[in-house]
Order: sequence, then structure tokens, then C-alpha cells
Amino acid sequence: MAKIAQYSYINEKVHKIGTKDETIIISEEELAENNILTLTYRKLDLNYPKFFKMDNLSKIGFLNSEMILKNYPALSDEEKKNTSVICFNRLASLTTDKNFENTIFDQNNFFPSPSLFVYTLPNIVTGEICIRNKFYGESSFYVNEKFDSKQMEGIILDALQTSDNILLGWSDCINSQIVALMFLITKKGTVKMQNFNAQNLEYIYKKFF
Amino acid sequence: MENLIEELKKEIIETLNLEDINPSDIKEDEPLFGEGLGLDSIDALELIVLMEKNYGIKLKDASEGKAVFGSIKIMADYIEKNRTK
Repeated sequence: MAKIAQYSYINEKVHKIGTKDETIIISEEELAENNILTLTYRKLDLNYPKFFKMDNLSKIGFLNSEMILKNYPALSDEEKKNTSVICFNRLASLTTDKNFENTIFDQNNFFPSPSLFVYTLPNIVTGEICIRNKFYGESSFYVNEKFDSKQMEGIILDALQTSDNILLGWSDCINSQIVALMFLITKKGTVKMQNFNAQNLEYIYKKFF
Repeated sequence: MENLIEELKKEIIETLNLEDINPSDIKEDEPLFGEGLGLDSIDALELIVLMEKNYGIKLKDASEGKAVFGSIKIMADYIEKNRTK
């Protein structure tokens, strides 16, 4: 039976980030200086300048994956070959699509931005995580109306036929509030870990959002 | 020329989201690509857009950029000679 080995989340509304084992509350003072994504990057003490070039959707997925992997034993090269990244959300890359549209909206100020254009597909986030970690398993992105744990369960069980580990992500931005959750699902879990199933995904999601 | 170099440094940092880089970190004679700033091909395209948008310079051949972006000094010199705004 597959297990939920670790998870991480970002909840902008209540200023919290964290994992299964730890919650970090971001103060109002910190948020006055920087946004929650940059603050999380700094708190994780990361050194990956490409982060700042990403759109928010990719930043969210990247940070969640970093929080999980920092709190899990390092994967071997062999394990990385069989690690997949599968993400879901509701609004695809809508925010970046709109930002890009703003660069081509006015015929008298028509300067399409290449760096925005490259993020006008939501599945870029799974690619960013795979590149960073040298994961060679499945990389896919699904757009859904809501957090549908039943459907996620089905897709992940299928992917586990060919993967030993899967990063399963959900990220959305509702009224500019980031709601993001990621799980590490593994075939090689311990009895202490929660079982991977739709009920537990739903329970964890509702615990934080 | 010195003013243009300083202006360009600030524009490059802002346009390419070089969060942890200060203008003083960009040396005038050092290559913009390949080392140092860690710029990639998308950054090169953004610089081509920046030259057109801010200085009215349209590079006819994308490969021309390779020479123009040789360093911040070369870029400033090219802009000074070719700018239309």
C-alpha cells in the first residue's frame, strides 16, 4: 500500500507555511517587506536564482517541493529516475496569461514578453521541479474545477505502476490568496505513515484550507 | 556613456528579475552571458525586447545579439550609436 510520506503547504490567507512536522507563521511585519513566496524562499535558505524568474505558479510548486524534500531522506539517483511530479489546479496559468496579454494588448505598445510567454502553460511548474531535482518519472498537470481527491487518487494509483515516488501538488490563487498543498507519495513507506487514499488527501487538505 | 551604463544595469536587473544582484556586481567588461550573471536564452530575448522598447533599436538578426551583449560596455556603446529614442 502506498503511503503519504510527507506534505507541505502554503496558506497565504492565514500567513502560514509548513510541513507535516512543522508550521511557520509569517508575521505582518515580514509580509510588509516581502511577499509570502520570497519570504519562504529566504526562510528555506535556498540558493537558486532561477526562482526569481519563475511565475507565481511555478514558485509555489517549487517551494512546496523544496519544503518536502528538505524534510525527507535524500533520494538516490536510482530513486530519482522513478520519481514523478503530478500537479493539479483550478485556474491553470491564468494570472500569467493575463500578464502576457497586457504586453500585447496595445498595438502602439506591442512588446510581447518572452519571459512571461514561457510560463503561459501550467505544466511548466512540473518541469521546473523535475529539472531542479533531476527527476525522470512522469511529469503532468491537470486542470480541475476543485480539489477532487477521488480523481487524484485514481491518477496517482495509475502513475504508481511505473513510479516509486510521486510529488502530488495542488495550487491555486483565489482572490490573490495562495492556497497550495503538495504530498510526497511513496511505495516504500513505513507503517507510521498515513495510507495514501482519497480520504486522507481530503482530510489533510481540509486541515489547512 | 557612464550614465547610460548605470541606467542599463538597473534596467537589466529589473527586467530579468536578478533579485540578488546589485548594479555594482555587473562589471563593465565582463560577458553578460555564459558566466557571472547566469543569464539564459530567454534573457537574451528579453534584452532584445528591452532595446526595442526603451531605445527604439530593432536587431535585424537575432545572432547580432551575441556580439551586442558581449558586455554591458559593448551594449551601451551599441545603444549610443543606434538609438532612435
